[in-house]
Amino acid sequence: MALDLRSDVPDEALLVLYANGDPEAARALTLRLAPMALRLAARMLGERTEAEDVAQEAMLRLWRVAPDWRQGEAKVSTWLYRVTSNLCTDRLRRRGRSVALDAVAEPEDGRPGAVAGLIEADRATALEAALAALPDRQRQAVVLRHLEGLTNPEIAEIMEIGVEAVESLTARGKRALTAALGGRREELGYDNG
Amino acid sequence: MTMADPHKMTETDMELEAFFSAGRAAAAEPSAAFLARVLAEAEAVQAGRIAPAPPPRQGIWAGVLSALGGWGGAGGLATATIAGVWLGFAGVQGSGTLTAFLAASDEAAITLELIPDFDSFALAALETEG
Repeated sequence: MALDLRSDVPDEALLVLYANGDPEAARALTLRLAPMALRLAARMLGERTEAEDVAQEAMLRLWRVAPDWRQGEAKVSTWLYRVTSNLCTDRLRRRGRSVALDAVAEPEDGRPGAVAGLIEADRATALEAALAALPDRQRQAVVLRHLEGLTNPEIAEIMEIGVEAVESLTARGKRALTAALGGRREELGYDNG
Repeated sequence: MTMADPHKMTETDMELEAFFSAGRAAAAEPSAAFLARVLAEAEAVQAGRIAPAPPPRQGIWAGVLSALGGWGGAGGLATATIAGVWLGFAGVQGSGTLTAFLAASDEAAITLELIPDFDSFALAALETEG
């Protein structure tokens, strides 16, 4: 697929162009925003196929809302994060937490690579498993803050809560992650030095 | 050891950051097929093959407000209600002006009060009987 040829145009302007029938705007927005929605959904759900379904649904909602988009009310990316988050929350509620936990593969213990340490993929997998064990709201806040790199006010807007509540959720989430990952330091390339 | 710098990452934070960094690097990459599906839907909506989003559903209060004629109608109703309440408390004495005028113009006329209280109603009934 072609590169984003409108990289200098803000999302909001592209959405107006899209609503006016510009085919290039559709391509640019797809390339810019669909990966973002997919990334968040994959981290929230821990399951690729379901994450693609959710991201596609969130993007469809964006396409359908484009003609009524009101400039200056919200950033398109913030809106999309919120819609994706809500769709993920709905899915998690429907399927129950146990499936989400089971869907995340545990790193194999005792393999040579783990002993040698510093294996990024194992760390990522361990993080994914630890994230999946967090309560939904804590996981959402931690993912948006530390993996998507958003600011607390942006997260507050996405989660429709106050900034202090975001700080509390991320702090609790990080404490739980530290506890969950702490026991795996050695196998994931950390020594006690 | 000096006081901890709040901006300085703790050892725990640094350890977690190593996991976060690995997590960011391992982000799900969209497949070409996924992007093609999203783009196909974008083009379908653009071409009108998929309807745009319906207007948001009205809540019950929005429906009531609409039935009253919007904020203007509701405002008028509220004003009339407050005026009625005010008259109920304070308006009885003030209604005497009209009563006096009507009584002066025709002594035999039945007393008419726009907001009658019990006494004037009883008086009017006696006059009618008499």
